[in-house]
This record gives sequence, C-alpha cells and structure tokens, in this order.
Amino acid sequence: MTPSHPAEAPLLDVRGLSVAFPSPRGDLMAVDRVSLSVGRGETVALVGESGSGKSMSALAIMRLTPPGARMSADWLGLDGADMSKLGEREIRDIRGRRIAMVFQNPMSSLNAVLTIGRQITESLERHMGLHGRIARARAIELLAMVDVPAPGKLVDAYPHQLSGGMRQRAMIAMALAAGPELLIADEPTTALDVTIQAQIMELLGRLQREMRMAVLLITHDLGVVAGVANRVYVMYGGRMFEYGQVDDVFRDPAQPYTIGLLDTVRQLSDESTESLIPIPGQPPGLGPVLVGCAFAPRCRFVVDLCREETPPLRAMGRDRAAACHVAEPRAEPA
Amino acid sequence: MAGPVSRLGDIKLSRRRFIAYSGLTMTAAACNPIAAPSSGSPATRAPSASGGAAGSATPSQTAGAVLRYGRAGDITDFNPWDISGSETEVYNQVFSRLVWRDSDGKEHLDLAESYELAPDGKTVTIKVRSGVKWHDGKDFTAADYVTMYGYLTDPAMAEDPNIGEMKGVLEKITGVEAPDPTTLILKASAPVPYIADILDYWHAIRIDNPTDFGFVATPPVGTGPFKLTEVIPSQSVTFEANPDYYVEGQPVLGGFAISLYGGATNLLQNLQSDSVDGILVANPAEIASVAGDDAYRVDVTPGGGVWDVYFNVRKAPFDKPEVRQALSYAMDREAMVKAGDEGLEMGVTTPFNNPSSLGYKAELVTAHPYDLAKAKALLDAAGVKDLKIVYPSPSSIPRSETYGLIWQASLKEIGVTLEIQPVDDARWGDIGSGKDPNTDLVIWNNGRGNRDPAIFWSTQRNFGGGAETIWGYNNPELIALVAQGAAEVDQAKRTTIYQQANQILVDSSHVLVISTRSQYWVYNAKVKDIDVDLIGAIVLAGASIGA
Amino acid sequence: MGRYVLTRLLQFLPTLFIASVVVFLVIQASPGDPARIKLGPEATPEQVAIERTRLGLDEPLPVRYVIWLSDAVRLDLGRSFQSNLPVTDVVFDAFGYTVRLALAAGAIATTLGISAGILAALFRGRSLDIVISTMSAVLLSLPSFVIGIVLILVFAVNLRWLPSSGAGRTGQALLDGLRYLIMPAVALGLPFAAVLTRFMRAAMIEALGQDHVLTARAKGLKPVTVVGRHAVRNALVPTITIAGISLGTLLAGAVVIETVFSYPGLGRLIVGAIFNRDYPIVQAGLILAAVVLLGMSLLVDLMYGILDPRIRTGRSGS
Repeated sequence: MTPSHPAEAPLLDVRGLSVAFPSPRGDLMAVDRVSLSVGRGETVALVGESGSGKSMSALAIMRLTPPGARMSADWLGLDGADMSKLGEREIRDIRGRRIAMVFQNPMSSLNAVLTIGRQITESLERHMGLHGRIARARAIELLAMVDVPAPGKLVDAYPHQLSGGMRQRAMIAMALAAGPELLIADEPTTALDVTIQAQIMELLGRLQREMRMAVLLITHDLGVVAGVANRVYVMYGGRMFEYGQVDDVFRDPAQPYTIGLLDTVRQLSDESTESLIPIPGQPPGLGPVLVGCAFAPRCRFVVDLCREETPPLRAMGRDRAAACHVAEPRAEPA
Repeated sequence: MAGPVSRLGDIKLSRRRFIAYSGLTMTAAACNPIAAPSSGSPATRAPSASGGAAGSATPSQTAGAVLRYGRAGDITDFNPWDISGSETEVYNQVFSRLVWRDSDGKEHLDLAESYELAPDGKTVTIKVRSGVKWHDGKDFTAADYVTMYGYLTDPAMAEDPNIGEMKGVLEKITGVEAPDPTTLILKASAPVPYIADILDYWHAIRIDNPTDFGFVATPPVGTGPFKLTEVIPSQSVTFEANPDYYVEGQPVLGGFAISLYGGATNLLQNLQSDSVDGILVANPAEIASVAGDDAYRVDVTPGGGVWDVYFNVRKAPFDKPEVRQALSYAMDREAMVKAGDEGLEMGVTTPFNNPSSLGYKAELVTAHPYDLAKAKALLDAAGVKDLKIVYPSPSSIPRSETYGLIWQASLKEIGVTLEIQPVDDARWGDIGSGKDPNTDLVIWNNGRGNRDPAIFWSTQRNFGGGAETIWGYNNPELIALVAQGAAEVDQAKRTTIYQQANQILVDSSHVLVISTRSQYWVYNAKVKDIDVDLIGAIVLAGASIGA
Repeated sequence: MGRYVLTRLLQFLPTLFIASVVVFLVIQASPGDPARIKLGPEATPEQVAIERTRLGLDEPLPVRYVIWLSDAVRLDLGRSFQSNLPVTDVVFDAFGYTVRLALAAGAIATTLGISAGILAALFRGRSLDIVISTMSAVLLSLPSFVIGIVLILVFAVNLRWLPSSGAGRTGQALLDGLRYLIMPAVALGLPFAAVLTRFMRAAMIEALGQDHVLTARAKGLKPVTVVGRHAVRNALVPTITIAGISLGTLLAGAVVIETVFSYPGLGRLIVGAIFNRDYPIVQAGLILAAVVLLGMSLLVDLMYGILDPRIRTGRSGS
C-alpha cells in the first residue's frame, strides 16, 4: 500500500471533537477533544478498547450521536467545509452519499423484514435517483462487487437467510451504493469467524483501491491494522493517546497503552504463548472530565504527574504524537 | 300515501323478511266511531300532558307524517290470535275488529254496523259494514268471518299455539254463518253474555293459504288503517297508510315505523335524540328524567292488569286463609307503589278495580289496608310462629325487589322473615309455572281485569279454584259462581254473581293482589290523538304529528 | 403454506366438538322452559306441554344433542324457538352486523392506536407522549359501555348528531347507515386503541433503538422513511400479535356494546336468545363465535408471516 502523505487538505479533518452526556453529576465525556484526519484514498485506523470513544467519534463525525448526547467540534471538515455547522437536511445529503458507514453486527444492522435488495435500492433511490428495475440491476452489480455468490438471487433474500459473512458483504455493498468518498467501517469483522474476518478485510482493501475511497477503520484489534491502514490513531478513555504512521507506531510505540496493546497482539500471533497477558485493570467507564491521564491507574510507567495533570499530545517524531508525560520523542527509523 | 290498491307485489319482501311470522295474522284494528256512538273520551290518563279527541288533519298537523316508534324487545309475531300475543302496538293498526272497547270499557262499532244478542244469549246477529277492502284490494264480506271460523276450528290446528288465544275466546261458539255479504250470525252452545268482548277480540285476518299458517311465504293481510310493508327481524317493522281505509279522513299519519331495540336499556335516549317519536317504557323510574319536560308527554294506560303474588296453597302454612290474609294486611301497598312505581300505579286488592267491570265493588278495591296489628293477630290465631318465606325476585323487574323489600321490612316487625331471592327471568318463569313444589309464593302479573269477568276467569286460571289452578286452591263455591256468571244472560244477575266471586277472591287471598299494572308511553309532545283500547293497546288511526 | 392452513383447520374440529357439547349442556341444562317463555304467562300447563313436544324438548338431553349434531353437520341448525325463522339466516344476518361493527372498531382502533403509539414513541418523554400515554391509560380503565353511554348522552341526546341506537332501516343511504355505526364502533374501538397505543409505543421505542435504524439513518434516509420503513413495520410485528390476541376481547366487547346501542349483531342476538332460552340460536351463535375466534388465531399467525419474513420463510421451508 502506498503511503499517501496528505499534501493538500485532508478529506476528513476533525478538530476538537467532543461528545458529552449531560447528567446531574455534570457532563459525562464520551469523547474529549479528539482530533483526527483522513486523507483522500487513505486508510486510517482508529483503535481502542470498547468504551474508548472510538465508535462514538465515528457517529459524531456522521452527526448521528444518540439522543441526549451533546456534540461539539472546533472543526468538522469534509473536503474543507465544516460539517458541524450544517443543517439536518444538508447533513442527510452527506450521509450515505459522501460518507458511508458499515457497522459491527451485520445481523442486527440489517433490517430483518426487508430484502437485501430493498435495503440497497433505498440508498440508490435516495442518493442516485435510481428507481425500479434500474435500481435493482445496480443492486445486483453492487452485490457482485462484494463477491457474493448468485447476486441475482441474493438480492431477493432476507438477512436471516444469509450467513454472517454474506450479510457483512451485503452491508458493504449497501454502503458503497452511492460511491462514497469516505467509508467508516466500525468493527466490520468483530462479529465474524476468524477466517471470514480476513476475507472481509481483503475485500475492504480491494474496494478501497478500486473505488479510490478513503477508509476510516474502527477496531479494537491492532492485529487487523497492520498491512491495511496507512496511519493509526489510538484512543483511550475518550481521548486521543497516540497517532502516527502504522509502521512507526508498530515498530516503536510511544504511549504505554499502545505498548500494552501491541504486546497483546504479539502474544496472540505467537502460538507458543500459552496464555494471554492482558493489560491489568479495567478501562475507565463513562465519567466526568478526569484530571490526569486516564490510563494512569493501569500504567506500568506511572509517575505522580500523571495523576495531577492531563498529558497533552506531544510530537513524537514526524507525523506522530502521543499524550504521555513519560514518553520520549522517537528517533526516525533508519 | 296513495298508490293503487295494495297488492302483495308491492310489499318489499327483502330477503326472507317474512319467513315465519308464525301465526295467522291479519285483521282488524279499528277505531273511531262511525255511524255509531261517541268517539273516544280521552282514552289515556296522562300525568303531564295533553289529550284531545281524534280527528282528521288540521292545519297544525304534518300531513302524511310517519310516526316513529321505538320498542324494546323483538317482534316475532304479528298474530293477534296467538296465545302469546304481546305485540300490542301492531294489532290495531293492521287489523280491524267487529267492535272495539276503549279504555273505559265503552263499545265502538268497527267492522260491525250493529249487533244483537238473542234473548237466550245463544245467537248473535251482526250487520257487517259493506265496501270494506282488504289491504290487497279484495272485498271484505261477512263470509270472511265464516272462513276464519272454519280455520280456527279445523282439527288440524287443534294444538297450534298460533290460534290458541282466539280459540279459547270462541270456546262456546258452535257455528258462524253469513247468509249474505253484510250479515253474520254466530251461534253458541251456551249463552255468551260477554259477546262484546268476543267481538272485540276477533281481529279480522284473511286466510289466504291455510297451509301457510305461519306466514312464511306471505305477510298478513288485514283491513286496518295501516298496511305492513316491511319487516326486518330484530331491526324494524314498517307500515304505510292504507289509502282504502273505510273511515273518512283516516289514517291521518302517512305511515308508522317501529324500531326494534332488543333488550334496550336506553330506550328513552332514542326519544331524546329524536330517533323516535314514542316509546313504551317498562320501568316507571325511567320516566323521571322527562317528567315535567314540555317536549314530552307521558301516557299511563292501565289496561286492566295487576301485579300479584301466587301462594303455594298446598304448602303449610299458606293453606290457611288467615295466614294469607295476614300477609296481605302486612303489605304497605301505598309505600310499594310510591317506591316501586313512582306513584303511577294504585295499590289494590282485586283485579276488578275498574268501575266499568261487572265484578267491581268499591270496598274490595282496597280491602286490606296496611295494618300490622291485625296481621299479627291473624297469624297468632292461626298459630303461626317464626314464619320464614322465600320470595323469588326476577332480575328484569325492578319493582319486584322494591315491593319485596318493603314487605320484608313490614313483616319483620311481626316476626316473619321474608328472604328475597334474586332469580333470572327464565327461572322465574319456571317457578311461576309451578315447577318447584317447595315454592312458598311467587310474584306474578295478570291481565284482563277490564274484560268481562267471564273472559277473566277463563284465562287467568290461577285466580279460580279446583283443578285448573296450579297452586292447589280449591273452592267449589267460587267454581260454581264462575260457571254461573259465564252462562247468565241477565246483566244485573251477572253483576251480583261476579261481585260475590270478587269477594271470595279477596277474602281467600290465594292470589294476593298488590297493585295495578299499567303501560307507560312517552311521546314527543308533537304526537297527538293516540287512542288506547280496553287492554291498553294503542290505536293510531286518528293519531297525528303536529308541526 | 396451504398444507399448514389445512392442518390448522383440522385441528379446529375437536375444539369445536368440545365447544358444542359444552354450549349445549350449559344452555339446555340451565333452568327456564323455552315453551313457557314462548307462550307467555297465560298459557296453561297443557298448552306448554304441547309446545314442548313441538319444540322437541321431550327427548332426553343426549338424544337432543345427537339430533342437533347430526343436523348441524348438514348445516341445518333448525329454527328459532321464538321467531320460527331459520337459525342460519338469523345468525348470519346478525353476524354480518357484528363483522361490520368489529371491522369499523378494528379500523378505528388500529388507525388511532398505531399512529398514537408511533407519535408517543417519536416524542418520547415530551409533552405529546405524556398526553397520549395519559389518555390511553384513562381509556384503558374505562369499560367500553361507559364510553358508549357517554357518547350517547353527548352526541345523541344533547347534540342530536347521531342516532342513539339500532342500525337504521333498510333502503337508507349508505351514509345514513354509517351514522348508526359510528358511536358503537368508537365505543368498542377506543379501549382497544388504548391497548394498541401502549404496545405500539413500546414496540416503536424498541424498534427505534435497534441497530438497523442507525444503519438506515447512516444511509441518509429521510426521517419519515427511517420511521416508516425501518421502525414501524418492525414494531407492527409484536403489535399485531397483541391485536390478534385481543380480538377475542373485541368480540366480547361487541356483546356489551351491541346491547348498549341495541345494535342488531351477534352479541345482542345471543344475549336475547339466552334470556328467551332460544336454544337453537344460542347454540349456533356461540359455535359461530368459537369458529370466528379460532379463525382469527389462524389469521393472526398468517399475518405475522407476512410482516415478518423470518416466520414465513422458516415455516414454508422455502
């Protein structure tokens, strides 16, 4: 995969994105001033454990936060325009058309009472102005693109008649219907068998290249990131902990949390290891704004400062940064 | 109205409308005086309303208006000869009779121009009106009555309840002849001093098809002021004016329509919402909401019925006349009718409480005034202590419970326990038919107190004595008097006989009469000139609706 | 599918047989002599006895049942004791009215109940939701006859807009006939609407929270499409189940409502016939009611098949 350095303005440029849930105890921060960007045609991974705020960030980018959530952003740029200022009607034109989304559970994310074809054509109707037989033919083409067998038959099937992998392919076909510039794939393989996971990732990679679209891949599994993404963002407790080129971060992670995550992945791929050594402790739940580093209670390298002051993102080298008081800037690879 | 002489073909027999209106229906209703005696005195006693004589349309009337009438319960039978005939709103509109008696007992000639009973009381010669037409346009003649008689006495019909009532009335008649179209001669095996009642009963029904006596195929044909045009079971019955009706200027109404409301609990609301112009209310308490409202008129028509209690005379201590009398004296009838009937009825001790009745005797009307001391004394004399009585009370008749409660309270003071036992109507019917030998007593109602006593005794059999009663009362003297009265031609002698019978009835108290039983009609105040006959059935020939 | 329906229909037969025995016993063994009721209080015991013979009541109960059943399987249900009309005609005429009433009430209930439920769910926690939920709670606590009486007092007695009872006469304009149907249908339909409102609200809230709704929103679909295509239809599946189960209640309610409004339907017919001990009518009426209930349960099953492809395709084995 050719690393594409965003010379021009990135396709997606998120700055200072927060999602808060007002409560009697004060705002509960699901996403706390997160910034990220995705260049045209680029594949970017957003990694974190469940509850880290990665999926909420994705929904916030689509302006689809659940009722009761309050979202704010300094800048929610799509191709240079701020989406945070758009009206509901305008944002609806972007959803599915310019930014599409694939969700984690292909069973529940598909409507059980509509055929696969209908769920694709409604997107075609909405954004492409295709109707009737033309829409149906296009839906079959899209299904063919995602490599399902007998797309002409599948188009009339209901979700429960398909296997998990087929459903996720159908979901992807649906997302691709309007030819989006950015595909946000939220844990697209988590609910699938391991063998299927690889196929889906491969499919996503191929489609990304063929359609020249950008992909924001959201995952808890650093393992799937390598070889797929150009750059990676790591979130923890609603905050951005580290980002950089995948190669750089994998080779030499700066943040102790990232180090922990990578250790876990390496143990997994090393078959000789009997048991997994996870990062001790639990990730923080949804809570009020924390003072200090969210990872401090679990961190091997913790110092007093970590508990007193929230670490800002600091540059750790070219195109990379980490939020850690302890981490030192990394040397450029040789 | 109008149109040519009615033909059956005109009648809308909407899908199976007519199947099975069992009973030979047809005949005569009537009204209004013709050549003969006075027109009706106001036939109704009306607490809050008008009255007025019948007459033809005046400028204040709406010509050709349809009187809309609402009825609780279905109409399953249009046959006035039927043993169970209770569709009294219908008979006098569709059918005429030879003579009719109004609510005061006064006779009016109808299909008859005159009649005469021979001195031996066994032959009646009737001059029949000429020029009368049946609803289908055919001429009516005296010979039609011969046909009817032949039908009624046909052995094949012997057990048919559809003609049961008329057969009973004609028991003594042995032959009917029509020597010419306007002369009718009735011959009897024994004197028939009550001939006027026989003629009043005998509605003229045309017998077209003796094998179709249930009117399965054809609707009944009469000579009355209205023709039956449509019947929808459980919904409505529609009549239109008979353009060939033989009384000049009648009927005033263009038609008559009955809406059938099943076991309606909200009959009055149909009147208040102007869905109908008149209703018959079962429970006087319902009238309260329109009493005093000028928009409505309430007519109370007595009709000769009474509420009473049958004692099981076979069961001690009800076999003792003192005990039955004691229980009568313990009845506060005044309180009962006030609470149970809104004061619209009268507390009475005999069915012969109308001065027009031959058996009437003023002192017998309220022979047992409320007197607990006397009641107690009678019980003591009979040696009855700690008496417990079960009083079955039918759920559909609120007054029965009210009566019972008042009686219960009075009886308690003299050491008698009255247990009120609510029963459903069907169970009540069983008890009243004597199916349960353990019955102490049962509240019941009876009619025909206004009829000639001969008719009363022959139909209200439990008031008599001997084998005919189901409750075991036996009194040879009463039986003899009743037989004597029926055969006596001399009206003065009959009066004495029936007064004696009345006295025995009151003294024996085997049927304890409580109160009069009237019908309560509520009309839109615009409805005028509705007449009522002796049994309380309405006569609409002269009725009209004001503008 | 056809085979499934046939199997279900065959399963009805034993149920109907048992129902017929129970109905027969309960009505014929209860006190009250149809002959006496028919002939009235003045008939003599001899006349009553003759009438009992005519009505076939002299035979012992089991014999009467066998005679009735063997006639019934040939669709000869006899004649009414009271009116002598053929029972089949009487019962089906009345049933037609009840069907009309139930359809109108059902239409009112589903339209009102489902739309109110949707609105309440969409405005969950807001004032519209509170108004709808309160109203449905009030309606649920009111028996339908109370609603009926209130309607009569307001719209018939006071305003005189609508007739208070009956079904009108034949030959009237269709619109006039509808006027007789409005109040009974509303009185019967409102409590049912309240039930449906509650179920639809809950089902909609659940459906709106489902993942596929988020998918639909992420496609950029308009809110009306999201709600209509992706939430309502899914929420209808459980609601229809409830509606189907409640149909029995609707029929039972029709008995009361028909009596309140003197509406000439099956309920009023059966109630009247029970009072008159008109055995043939009661038997036929109740058996028909049982058939209708069984048929409804089958219909409801087929209905969710249509709404929920998981059931349909699962069952047909495709």
